[in-house]
Amino acid sequence: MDCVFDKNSLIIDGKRTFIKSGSLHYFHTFGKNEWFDRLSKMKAGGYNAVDLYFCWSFHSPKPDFYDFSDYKNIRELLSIARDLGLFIIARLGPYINAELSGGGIPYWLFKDKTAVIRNRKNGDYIYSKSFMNALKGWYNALLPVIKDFDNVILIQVENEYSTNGGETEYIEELAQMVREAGIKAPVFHNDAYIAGMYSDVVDIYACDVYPFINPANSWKDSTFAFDTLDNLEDIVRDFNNSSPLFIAELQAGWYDKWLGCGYENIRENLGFNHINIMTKTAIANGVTIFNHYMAAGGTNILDLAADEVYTSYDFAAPISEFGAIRDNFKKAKEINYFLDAFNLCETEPCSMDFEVPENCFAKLREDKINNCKWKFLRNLNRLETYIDGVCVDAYDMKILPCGLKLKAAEIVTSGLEIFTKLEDEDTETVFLISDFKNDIKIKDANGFETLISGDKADFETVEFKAPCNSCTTGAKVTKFIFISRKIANDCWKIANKLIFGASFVYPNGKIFANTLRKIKFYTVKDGFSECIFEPELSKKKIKLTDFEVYFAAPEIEAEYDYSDWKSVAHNDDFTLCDSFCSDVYSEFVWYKGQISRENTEISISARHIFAIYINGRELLNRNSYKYDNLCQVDEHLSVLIPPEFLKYDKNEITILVQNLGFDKGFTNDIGTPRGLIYFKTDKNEKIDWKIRGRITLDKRPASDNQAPYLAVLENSFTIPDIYLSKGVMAPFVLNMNKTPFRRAVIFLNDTKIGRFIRNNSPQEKFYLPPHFLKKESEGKNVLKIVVWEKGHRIRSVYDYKNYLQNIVLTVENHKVWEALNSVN
Amino acid sequence: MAVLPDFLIKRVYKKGSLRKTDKGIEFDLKNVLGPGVISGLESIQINDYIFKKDVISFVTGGVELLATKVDELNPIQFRLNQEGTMKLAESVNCLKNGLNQIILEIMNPEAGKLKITFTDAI
Repeated sequence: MDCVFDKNSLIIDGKRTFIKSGSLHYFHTFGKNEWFDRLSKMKAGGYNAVDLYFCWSFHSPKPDFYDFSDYKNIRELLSIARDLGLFIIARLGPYINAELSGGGIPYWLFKDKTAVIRNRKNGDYIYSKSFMNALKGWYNALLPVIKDFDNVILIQVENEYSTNGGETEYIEELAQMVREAGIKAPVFHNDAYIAGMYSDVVDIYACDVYPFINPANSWKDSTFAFDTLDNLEDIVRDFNNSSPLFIAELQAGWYDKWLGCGYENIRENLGFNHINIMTKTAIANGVTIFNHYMAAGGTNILDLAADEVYTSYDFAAPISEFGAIRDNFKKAKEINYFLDAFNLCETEPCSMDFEVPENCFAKLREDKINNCKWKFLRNLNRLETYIDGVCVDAYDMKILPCGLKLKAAEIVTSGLEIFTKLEDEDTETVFLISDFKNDIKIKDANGFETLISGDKADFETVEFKAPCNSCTTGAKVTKFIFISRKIANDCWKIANKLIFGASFVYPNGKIFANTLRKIKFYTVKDGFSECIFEPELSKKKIKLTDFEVYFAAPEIEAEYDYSDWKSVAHNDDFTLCDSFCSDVYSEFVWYKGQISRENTEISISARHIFAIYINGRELLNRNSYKYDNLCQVDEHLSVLIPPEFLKYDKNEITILVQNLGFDKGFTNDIGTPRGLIYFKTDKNEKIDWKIRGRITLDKRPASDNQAPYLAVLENSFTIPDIYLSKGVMAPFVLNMNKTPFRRAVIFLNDTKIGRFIRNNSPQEKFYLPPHFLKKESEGKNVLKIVVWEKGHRIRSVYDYKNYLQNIVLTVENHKVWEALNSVN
Repeated sequence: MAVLPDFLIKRVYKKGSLRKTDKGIEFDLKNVLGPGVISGLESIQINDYIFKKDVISFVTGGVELLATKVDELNPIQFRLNQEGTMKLAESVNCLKNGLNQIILEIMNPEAGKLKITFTDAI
């Protein structure tokens, strides 16, 4: 594939191509079936490209080792995208952010003291050969795979990078590595500051645009935040006049954090109106490459997440974590279909002869491909506002044609938006979004102008004909069909056909719905046809009762043999080296040592959640995760030791720390310590600490009246094959809302798929990624819920069992969609 | 502490605007970076002297905002290309000939605490 560019757009195989891209994280969605589903929905929704970060740490658990198997098989992912006809924007890292622990840089590199991560220390540029050598290993593993896919049209090196001095050598070297690998696609970097960073050293300049990153506020209350986007063309053209305007990350959602406001609120805030305004304002500024970040949400499994985010990475994205189509997807689809119908790759701003009311935005662009003008009108007032005679609803934005010549008519002016257009040689159908507040003025072939009200019933049609001697019917035909936005929302365009009434469709023609629907089809040649589709499957709800409850973590016991654990230095100032200095990089880290009976008090600081056991007995169980002014703050605690805990001259002390990941390192240097970071007794004893990672889920003998400091609740369930078959989309979740526990880690068939911390996040439903689920014919699914903060009323295994008799956890469908049959 | 590229953040400061006044010291800012919100004016240090909140104010669009009144509920909305004057109402002889170092510590609801360093001569 030949991909070149000029000032206006990419030119792919000789054709000016408007890039409508969305981000998918393959490390947050798992396996080929889920990738196929998400990418199919994107393609059917009018996206023509997918943006993929490649995550170094996901593939490289140790130096010089890269795992591209199973759900890490990027070749399979790229093949699916290619087969669906999607272009690929490949973002190689090394740093990718994505709210990942260490921003996607593997942990083992942090303990190499000779490596300066990203050649940057405290913002200053420091070239590091060790870092570059490690990075070359990653690029050498990745680039040959990328090279095999000629649908890769753009390549990003680094991400949101900057140094105090703005040095360019590092970015130049990365671009050079891409070139030396034989990859010809244009190289770009993603500038988080919209300041022209590295615009001279990459082929195409690109930037992030995130006007709203504090979900606690509503963008409707601070409309000035669009200032940068509103002026993007002027800002970027100041330092870049040779490549197309490219927004590598155009906000289409936002992530929620521990202690955050929840995805429901973010979705409410950054939904339909927001993506509409973001995308249309970008186009109004001449942007011809945009990437919705994110197009699809996902799930933080394993130890991937940065310390600030919880399990769900839904992102309030157009496609949810569970794969459901959201309102913002429907709006993105509408814009994408419009751009499908009209190529806006070559437009120039032109002067306007009307006034723009307060809190409104307007721009007029001359379109050199469609030989017309497009008017972009936006209203950020709380009430509908007239702009140049067009009524624009509150917080709405419209793209409207002026002087658009069609086969048998011309749209002179319009207050109605075009949904899309279908056409064959002599006939075309333009679908308009009906709007009772506005009109459309159409000129026929004889030059007569007609003002047509936008107040139309669904599918009402107005037809124009123009004589044509060379046409088989003797005339060219332009039909206008009016549809409401509600109809448009459930309308899908596959090839040259429209499908109305589907929940979603795949590009291969599969139509999905979750309720009884009338599905309507339209082609230019055959007009309308319809059928009734009644799905048969109902939502499944599996009650989990009769849990097997057992002790885990024999490490707590005083007799536990830890002689083969690694030593960790206890410094003179009573700080400890980070756990990864001892090659321990795990969510759970154990520390064991001995203290004398003379001690009466412990001072401790640990990240992020910890418990202290002395001689096998719990002294303290503490959630130390705190944020203040967006910075993580350490909690320093002093704990008195009751004398009855210290029975012997030498007492065994065990500390279990749950760390929630590294920070992602967007603005800071990555690598602040994790695990036990400070420990001091009142007698200043130096402790010969031993360290080991992970918790042991093996059963250990215990009587029913012992205290279960760390208990495993185990249960199994089966999923009928039909719910995991092709042609059915039935995402399952584990619903924890009835649990009395406050902290738990969830394992599905031995893969960690969630962290439940009631006080820190609103998440109670945990997605069970289908890749890790077994069908009934493959066996039972085993669910292990490791509880380590259980509520004060539960004092024994017996209590657990008693509690669980009255508690029901459920594995249930979010929704069930079934496929009709192919329409191709 | 957040790391923003020095050479970028320095563009917010209007070079040559540092001046003595009857009431103290002033300098000018212009937001050339992008729309932002200041949810706290914590302190300003000029060379070795730290000006506390109660003597700091920011004048923009004809309105004087006292640092003591700026917080998350009452932030300064600093729009793209908006200009303003930072006023330090304290008679202190902290300015010197040649280059002076100015350290502005502000809060931003998204980025947290930001420490911005400028230099200017009087």
